[in-house]
Amino acid sequence: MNAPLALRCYALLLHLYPAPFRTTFGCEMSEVFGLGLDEAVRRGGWMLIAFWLHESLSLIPAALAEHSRAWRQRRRDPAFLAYIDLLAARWIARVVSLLICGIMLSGLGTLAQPIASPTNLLQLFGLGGLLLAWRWERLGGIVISLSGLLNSLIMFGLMLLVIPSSPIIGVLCALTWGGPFLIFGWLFIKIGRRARQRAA
Amino acid sequence: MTTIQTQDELPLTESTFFILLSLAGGPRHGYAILKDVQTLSDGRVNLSTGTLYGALSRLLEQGWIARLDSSPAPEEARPRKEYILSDLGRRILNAETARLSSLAERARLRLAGGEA
Repeated sequence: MNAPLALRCYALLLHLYPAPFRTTFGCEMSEVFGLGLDEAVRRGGWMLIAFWLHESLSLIPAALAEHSRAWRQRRRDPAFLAYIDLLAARWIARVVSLLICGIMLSGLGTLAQPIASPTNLLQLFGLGGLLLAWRWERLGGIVISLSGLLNSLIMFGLMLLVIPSSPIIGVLCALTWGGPFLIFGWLFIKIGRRARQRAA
Repeated sequence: MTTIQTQDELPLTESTFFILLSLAGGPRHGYAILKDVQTLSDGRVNLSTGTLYGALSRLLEQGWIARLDSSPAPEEARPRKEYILSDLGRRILNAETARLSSLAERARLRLAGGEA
C-alpha cells in the first residue's frame, strides 16, 4: 500500500472516533501516523506490517474508550439528561398508546351497539388523535383530550339514564372510556411543550 | 490541588507516567512524545497514535498538561500543536516519582535483609 493511500485509509478509520475528538485531534493524529509510516517505510519489510498492525489494532479499543468517555461526560450534562427523559417519555407514550389503540379497536367490533354510534365515533376520533400525535404531539394531544372529555361526559350521561340510582357506576364507566384518552392527551401535550421548549 | 488530592490520583498508569515524564523535559509535539516514551521505557512502552491521543485528551481535560501552538517551521503550512506539563501535572509527576522511589527503597531494604 503506498503512503498517500495509507494516510487516506487512516483518515477514514479516524471516523470511528467521536466527532468532537476527531475535530480536536484528527489532523494531529494523521500527521503523527504519517511520520510513523515514513519511518516504518524506511525500515521496510516486517516493520511496515508491524506498524500497520499495531496502529489499526489499537485504534478500535482507543475509539471505543473515547466514545465511552464522551458518553460519561454527556451523562453529567443536565440538558442531555432532559433530552433523554423527553425521548423516553415520547416513546413510552407512543408504544403504550398504540397498544391502547389495538385494544380499543378490537373492542369496538364486539360491542352490542352499531359501529357508527356516537360513542364509537368519539372513540375513533380519539384513536385518530393518538396516531396524529406521532407526528404533531400538541395537536394530537388536544384531539385526544377532547375525545376523552366528550367520551367521559357522554358515557356518564348515558349511565345516569340507564341506572339513575347509581351515579358511581356512571363515573366508573366515564373513567374507563375517557380516562386513557385524557391521560395520553395530557402526556402528549406535555411532551409537545417540552420539545418546543428544548427546540427554543 | 492539595497534597492529599494529588495522592488520590496515584498510582499512574505506566503510559501516563511516561507521557508526563516526557513532557517534564519541555514542550513536545505528538510524534516527539511517542518516540520519547519509547526511549524512556527502553522500548517497552510502544504507544500507538490512538492510545497516545486518548491519553493526551484525558490529561488535557484533567488539567495536567496544556496544549499550545508552536511557531511553524518554514516548510509547514500551519502551526504544530505542542503539549506542555502544567504545574498540577508536575506536582503529580513528582508525587508519583516519590511513591515509586519509596517502593523501590523498601524493596531494596527487604532484599538486602534489612527491615522494610
